[in-house]
Amino acid sequence: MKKNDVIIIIAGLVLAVIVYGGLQISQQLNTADQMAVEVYIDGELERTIPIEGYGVYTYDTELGHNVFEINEEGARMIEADCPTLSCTRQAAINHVGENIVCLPHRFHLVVVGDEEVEVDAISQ
Amino acid sequence: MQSPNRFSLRQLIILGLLIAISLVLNYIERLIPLNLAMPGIKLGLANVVTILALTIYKPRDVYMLVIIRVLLGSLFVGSMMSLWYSLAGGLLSATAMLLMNQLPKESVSLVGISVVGAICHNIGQIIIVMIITSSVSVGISYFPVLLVSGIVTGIFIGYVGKATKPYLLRFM
Repeated sequence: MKKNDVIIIIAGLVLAVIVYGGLQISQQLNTADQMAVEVYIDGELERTIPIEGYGVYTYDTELGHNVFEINEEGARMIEADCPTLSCTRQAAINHVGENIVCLPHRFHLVVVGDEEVEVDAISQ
Repeated sequence: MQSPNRFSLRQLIILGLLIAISLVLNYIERLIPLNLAMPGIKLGLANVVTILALTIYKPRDVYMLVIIRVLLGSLFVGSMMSLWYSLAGGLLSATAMLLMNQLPKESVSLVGISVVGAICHNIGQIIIVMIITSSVSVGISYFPVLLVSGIVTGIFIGYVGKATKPYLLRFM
């Protein structure tokens, strides 16, 4: 390894720490009393569920089958019929901005804070 | 171009072999269980082939190799979706490594080139995530983890490339 290799590696690590720190800080600043889980299919908002809306939700689209659960730990994908199943291995999400993405089915969940929930309530 | 033929027969055979090796590496990589909680992290063994090609072929031949290996790779294992990731990642990574390869040899080694390639590969995948979810913030949330994993796998792949290169050059 040459000197510039080391510089590249350190610069990359520093950048990762900065972005990670930034994401954590914005998560801390965004703690909301009211949170909701947004369900997106193909980039379109499908449904907004309050984080207290405990239950099992099933979505079947032409791209595939996804089941997620909302309980006291947050939202977690429990079933999908894709080959990789990486989404079902992800931990429950319960902070504003956290997400679970099921790419093959173009399906994703995002936790949002009360500001966004209000906007959604008004638009309804 | 020095000769009417773009490749010597030897170069053509080695190129074919490299593509075949990358397909086998793709397959072997799937046998290594990497059940991490974070999706998208992989070793990228096939990138060794791109790194080796970089040292002996012209840029357009490197691009040809990347495109062929991605197309064939997702034909054998993977889906339509994995084709787009691999293509975005592979082309971005090849471009970055070709540019790095233009730098004077004494300033940066294969390890540094490989790390930049791995990071750019992951950035390519993040761009596809952003396009599919139509959300920039979802893509960015993957960035720190994929950056670190790119550095770790890039160092490993770089050393593998460095160790393999002398054997390949012996045939050229």
